[in-house]
Amino acid sequence: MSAQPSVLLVTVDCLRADHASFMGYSQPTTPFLDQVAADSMVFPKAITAGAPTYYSFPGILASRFPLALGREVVGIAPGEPTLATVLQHAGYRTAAYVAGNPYLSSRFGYAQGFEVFHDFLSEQLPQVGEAVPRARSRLNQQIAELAHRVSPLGRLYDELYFQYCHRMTASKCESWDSLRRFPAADVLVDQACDWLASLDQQPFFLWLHFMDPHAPYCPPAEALKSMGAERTRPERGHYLNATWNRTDLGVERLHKYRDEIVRLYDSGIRWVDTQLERLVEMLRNLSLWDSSVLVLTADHGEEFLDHAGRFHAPSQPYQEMLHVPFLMRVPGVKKMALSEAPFSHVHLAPTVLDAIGIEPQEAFEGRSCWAEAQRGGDWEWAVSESIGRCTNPMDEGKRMGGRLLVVQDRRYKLVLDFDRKREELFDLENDPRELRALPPEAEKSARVSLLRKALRHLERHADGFKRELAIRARVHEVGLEWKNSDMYSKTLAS
Amino acid sequence: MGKEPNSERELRLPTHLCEAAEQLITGTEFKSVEELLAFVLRELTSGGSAQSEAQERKVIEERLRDLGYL
Repeated sequence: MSAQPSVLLVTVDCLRADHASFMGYSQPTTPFLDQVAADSMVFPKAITAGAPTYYSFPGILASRFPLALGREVVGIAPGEPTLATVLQHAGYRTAAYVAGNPYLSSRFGYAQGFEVFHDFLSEQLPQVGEAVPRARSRLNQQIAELAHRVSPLGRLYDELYFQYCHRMTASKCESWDSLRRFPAADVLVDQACDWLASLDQQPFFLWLHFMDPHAPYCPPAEALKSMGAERTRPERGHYLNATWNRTDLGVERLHKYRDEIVRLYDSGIRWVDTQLERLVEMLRNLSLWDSSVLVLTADHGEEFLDHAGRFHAPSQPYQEMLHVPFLMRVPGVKKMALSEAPFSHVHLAPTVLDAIGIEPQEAFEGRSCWAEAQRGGDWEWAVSESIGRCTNPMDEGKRMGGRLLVVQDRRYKLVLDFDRKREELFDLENDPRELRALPPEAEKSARVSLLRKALRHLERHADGFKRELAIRARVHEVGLEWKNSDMYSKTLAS
Repeated sequence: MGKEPNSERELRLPTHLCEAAEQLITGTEFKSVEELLAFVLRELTSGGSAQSEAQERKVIEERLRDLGYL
């Protein structure tokens, strides 16, 4: 590459590695990316630094483990170096189009470094009612209470009430578009194309975060057709999503819907792929593609009852959650076989910067693997961490729970759940689906090796700069909490 | 350094900041800039992260000791 290359970062919410056809999936979810992958570095085992989104993105954008600033801090700290701030400082034009994920908003520091930051959160999307309306009448509540005093009656009540609610709302399911909660990939790509067309000769950094594979799974009809599922009607999609969301159904019953749900999920991935093809076509038309680096990854995966769970709870640190696709297309660099050892997301930002000749930041916790990637890669292990019970990072009580620490190497994976006081070791070579944790005294040397890595991870000392970032983030948080409190409203009113 | 919980120290702050803070707390339950600052500093220093991390390190160390490696 001669001129300073531009960078297109594509992150796809909930995209598990084994559902991208360029990673070997049997369904044609990514035919366009399959072609791109033929000329790209494809990392066979990229591992997210944490899951879900709010524990993953500090690793991707700031090369920082999510709990490094203390578990009080969620998101990017004010003034923290990220891919965006570094590239903006280097003279890049920067823009981000983030498909309505509140955890990736300016409230959590993600707008830093972007001259254009569009998170679609204020846009009104059509909302068809949930299968279960929020408010029940008093009489209905009393019937529900009575029914639940006797177990079989309670289940019958839940079933009847669910079916009733579904019938009440199904008539409004006119189209897939009316069911969707997030802007689809085409909406983001339209806006990104407009922005790209407005640029002059400066290099750009464009970040697109797609939500199409995120639940509720409501792909456009065109994507369903591409995946051979055109016969699935919006009403059926509404029913499937509502059923998949039910907390009163057991795994056995949910299994009956699994394949249909996965088809919807896969179609969401396909729609992202179709739109990326359109975006790349635009880059070609603008003569920008030959000088653009494409980086594609996901924040975390998604579970479809693999371990009896659904969606992407932080308490389920299995590979379907942590193993994500990671592809780097650098013009002029040939595809080569890369190491199958775990590659941590914290290395992503420094590796990308190095690939375009920009010095990675000292504050980054990861290292550049660009040079070693061209020799096949020497990385050996990866750490992921989250707070297992934190399903809502706005809730301080949940945020401050025990850590869930995962350390994995080529063959073994150690899960330390400090909340539940549980330790599990998996042999991924002989048990890739993580169905049987090894007995506590088995594989002692592998266990000790991973325990030592876990200890080393916890013994990292926060330097002055990290402590400063933590203070900035917490002062910012205090300000936000105060702004949202009644006290602040009173101040404004006075 | 005073270790008694009620002992106090004086701090010097730019006047314009104090005036802005006084403006900010008008009508709130904060009676003074000192109260506001004490609240913010309490929030900043009361985090449980450090304590949890020390406990988590201890758990791993004990496990390594159990296995005969520490």
